[in-house]
Amino acid sequence: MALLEVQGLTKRFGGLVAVNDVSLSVEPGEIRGLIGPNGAGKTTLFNVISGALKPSAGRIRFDGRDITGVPMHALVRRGVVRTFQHSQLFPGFTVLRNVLIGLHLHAGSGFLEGLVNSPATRRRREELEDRAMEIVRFVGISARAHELAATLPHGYKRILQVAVALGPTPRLLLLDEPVAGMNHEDVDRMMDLVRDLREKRGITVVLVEHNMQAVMNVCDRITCIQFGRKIAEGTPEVVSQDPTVIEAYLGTFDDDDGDPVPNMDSHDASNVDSHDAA
Amino acid sequence: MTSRLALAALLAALALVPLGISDQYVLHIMVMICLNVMMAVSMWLLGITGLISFGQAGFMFIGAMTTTLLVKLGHWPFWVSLPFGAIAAGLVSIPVGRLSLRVKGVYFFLVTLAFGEVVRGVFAYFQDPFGGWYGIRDIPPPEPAKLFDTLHKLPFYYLGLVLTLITCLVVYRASRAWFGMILWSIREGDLLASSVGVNVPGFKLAAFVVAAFFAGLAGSFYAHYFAYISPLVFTFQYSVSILVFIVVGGFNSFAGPIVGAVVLTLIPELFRVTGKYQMLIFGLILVGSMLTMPDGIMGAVQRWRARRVRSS
Ligand SMILES: Nc1ncnc2c1ncn2[C@@H]1O[C@H](COP(=O)(O)OP(=O)(O)OP(=O)(O)O)[C@@H](O)[C@H]1O
Ligand SMILES: [Mg+2]
Repeated sequence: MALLEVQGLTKRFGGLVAVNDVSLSVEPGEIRGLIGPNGAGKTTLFNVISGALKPSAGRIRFDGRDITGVPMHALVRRGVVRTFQHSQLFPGFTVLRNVLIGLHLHAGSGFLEGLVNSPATRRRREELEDRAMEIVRFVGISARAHELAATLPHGYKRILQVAVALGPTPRLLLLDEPVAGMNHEDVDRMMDLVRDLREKRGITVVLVEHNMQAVMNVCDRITCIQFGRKIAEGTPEVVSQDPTVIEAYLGTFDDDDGDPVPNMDSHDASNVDSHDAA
Repeated sequence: MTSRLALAALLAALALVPLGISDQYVLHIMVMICLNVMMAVSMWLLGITGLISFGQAGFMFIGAMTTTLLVKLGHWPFWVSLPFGAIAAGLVSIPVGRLSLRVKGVYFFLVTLAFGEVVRGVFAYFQDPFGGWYGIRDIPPPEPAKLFDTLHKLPFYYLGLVLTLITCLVVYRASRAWFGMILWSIREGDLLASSVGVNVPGFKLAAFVVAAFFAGLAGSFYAHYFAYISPLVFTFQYSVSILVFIVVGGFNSFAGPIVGAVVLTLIPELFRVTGKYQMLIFGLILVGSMLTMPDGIMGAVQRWRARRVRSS
């Protein structure tokens, strides 16, 4: 049975149909890529699935249960966690504390619990600090555990965001452009991390990406949307040869190496710095 | 360890030094400091989340009015009505918070500001039982009456000190616990916090209610200390001055609101002899401190300490 099942999902903003009758299903343990030109509706689709926005029409099922319209903080408890396209961190906190906040669901956080500060509460806190450290090690940034998030290099910031999202122990992780603006080295680290998420943690991943190389290498299947509609779906080989997909990106081929894989970087302003860094 | 010793010494001084003070005016200023510290510290807890309420004087007024009516009309004993002032303010803050927290940024200021004015307006409009613009006088002092004689302020000071210490302890503990850490995280990034399951509106509401509760407690104490309350006291200006205490003291540490409230209560008194220039000098000091210490007094102290550690 599919872990995530989206049926006829539509999201309108006034007259604009950002997501138009999209259906897709993601199997447990899958790494799914979600591609499409700028403004195609990828982030909006994430917003609706993760409960940040309510859909205009359609149904979403997670693990066999209907989660349509369930708000984000409630979905997080059920194991659906998302990251953001534009960096979201707690900049004034250390790396470790950023991850610690991610573990919020496992903590006793009430006002009264704080006042009493019982030995049990303190033990719990220590336990969570250990767990946060373990996550920091897992994503490979333990050398910087005590630095402020604001001072991290860009690549580390993106990785830290994934680390924070691991706090609620997700079963389904929605990553919105995790390698945006990264240099090649950092892209490889992130993709290794995405594979580790599945291999070592059993997390199902859906990731939006403009970096085709990364998507093709890591994803089992790819869904392509344009103008809010799904236009193609399949294995990386199939999708990259699909005429409608190629057409969607027409004019943005990477001519230099004659690669049939369309290069979408040139669309994306946020990716400009990746060329500088590379 | 040294900070524990310093704290113990400070508490001892707060408890013992006033015994040697016979000047009632000095004791009165110390009571005022207690009131202002309570207001500043409780408001600071809400400030951690990035919210600033301009309605704290309204909650203080509700606390003061509640205890006054309970004692004067209901003939309740002081020690029972005192906490009820705080509870009433806390209860009122729940719907007020729910409403005002729906709006963001500057609109939140405006809604809380409006709330404070509505409280004043209601109490001023209804002569019976709220006393109208004249307010209510002859509010009985705490019991036992022999001890709390309005001509001798020392017992009032000790009561104020105990209430202040309770407020500080609760707020400090809460700010250090997971609860407080989540409040900070909301200021740092509320979207990210909600994405990992933090009930952001719930935490904001909790902080709002706690702040209102202690403002109500301060109001209760105020009523019995001054024996007189009126809509001319719990004004928007007072709410603003609480914010000024916090900003001048420093938003980023617990000591900030305390230091700010103490310093800014003392400064106008020190310049009282200058007569009509008193408020002018106060204003100049205020502007000067904000320009030279953007992170408040505590921020400047921390920077100075960090520099000393580095240079030694
Ligand atoms: N909250 C909103 N209100 C109105 N319109 C919106 C809103 N969010 C997105 N849109 C519009 O919906 C369309 C899809 O936007 P979306 O951000 O989902 O695209 P995307 O595929 O993520 O693009 P990108 O690759 O640039 O991130 C765009 O035209 C956008 O302007
Ligand atoms: Mg997007």
